[in-house]
Amino acid sequence: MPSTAESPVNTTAAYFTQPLWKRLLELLPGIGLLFVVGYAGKFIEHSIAVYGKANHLVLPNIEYVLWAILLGLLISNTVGIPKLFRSGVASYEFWLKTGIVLLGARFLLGDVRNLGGLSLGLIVIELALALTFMTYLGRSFKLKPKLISLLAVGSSICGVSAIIAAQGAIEADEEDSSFAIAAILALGAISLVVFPLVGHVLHMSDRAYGLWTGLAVDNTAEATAAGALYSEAAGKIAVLAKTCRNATIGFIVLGYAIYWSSKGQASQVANKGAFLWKKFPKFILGFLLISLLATVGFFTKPQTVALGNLSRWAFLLTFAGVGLRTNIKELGKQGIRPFVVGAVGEVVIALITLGLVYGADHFYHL
Amino acid sequence: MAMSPRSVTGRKVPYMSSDKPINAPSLDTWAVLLALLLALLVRTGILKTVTW
Repeated sequence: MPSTAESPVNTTAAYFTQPLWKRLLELLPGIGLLFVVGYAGKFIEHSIAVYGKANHLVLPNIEYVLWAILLGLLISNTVGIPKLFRSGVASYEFWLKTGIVLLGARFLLGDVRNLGGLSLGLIVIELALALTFMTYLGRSFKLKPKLISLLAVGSSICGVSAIIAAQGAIEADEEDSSFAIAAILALGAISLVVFPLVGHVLHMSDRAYGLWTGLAVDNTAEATAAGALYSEAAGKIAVLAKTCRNATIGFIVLGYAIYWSSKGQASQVANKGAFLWKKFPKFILGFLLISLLATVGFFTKPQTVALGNLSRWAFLLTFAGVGLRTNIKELGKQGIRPFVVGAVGEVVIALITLGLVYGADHFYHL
Repeated sequence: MAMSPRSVTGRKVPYMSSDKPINAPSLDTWAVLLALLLALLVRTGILKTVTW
């Protein structure tokens, strides 16, 4: 994983020459671990609720999301993840995307258009401000120019996937990518604690909080988790807003590729249309398709509920993976300056997006 | 065959969880296909109830 040198997955090219069934078989132990950790989180949440009820105690309802992440963190930072489980644990991103596509069934296309349109409007403002500020900040801290580009892309659009997409396009150095990814992941972990707290202190509505989280938290998994930690409704909105943000990835990366190519430090982009299609996250199309099917009545009410529950199970695996893949010690090794730039940038972006969401709330009554 | 992104020095980028970026078509496509398959199973009644 990005944060660790001892990456959980076999990264050799030989891995992809193995038969499909063999690769799938390799995934099973790790997926099993994701399920056990995620389900343990759900069990703890349920047990606390039952205990409180039985003893007439008013205990805080801590969502399984937090327990799953904490259990994952505990395992990965104490005993570590044995090699046998690493491939499967890394599949949490696959479950995240499957969960998002299935979540499309819970959104009518009209909601997607209205909230997605509003999100896109806010995203354009957020992108312009975030890219400008991160570039200025990176220069002030005398970071390497391409590292600044990666941090700017990572913090303004969608974290790790944006950095990986940009890394190839602008031919950035591998160390820069590792720094930028580590900074984004560390800040994502912090946001899981800070965002719900701020949301509760400010008494934000589910929609406003979900929109803010989707706009401000960089990595899709963390944005989904930070939303779900507040409430299920907020989690849904966070996913939608974050998905809209992900949709812009190709355009921003293309812009940076053209910029670095004009400086003679990256290859030219021959076919811009093909470039955009290649970088476009295809799971968004799946989300829209399922949402369209739900809108035209393809699914009955119980079927929509079933699809929503399947989405929850997929997210359960994702949240376990968020904890399991985070190695605090490895994140700490990545150097302080990129982290400081990322942290200052993130705080400013979080405040800007909070202001945008409050503005939108004022005009559109979220 | 998919390869890891490489730096200007030609060395393999070490941070990847797999040889494919997380927004690479294959991962997304598989996720969409699985979701559509599940949706079809639910729609046809093969997968009747999914509790949470």
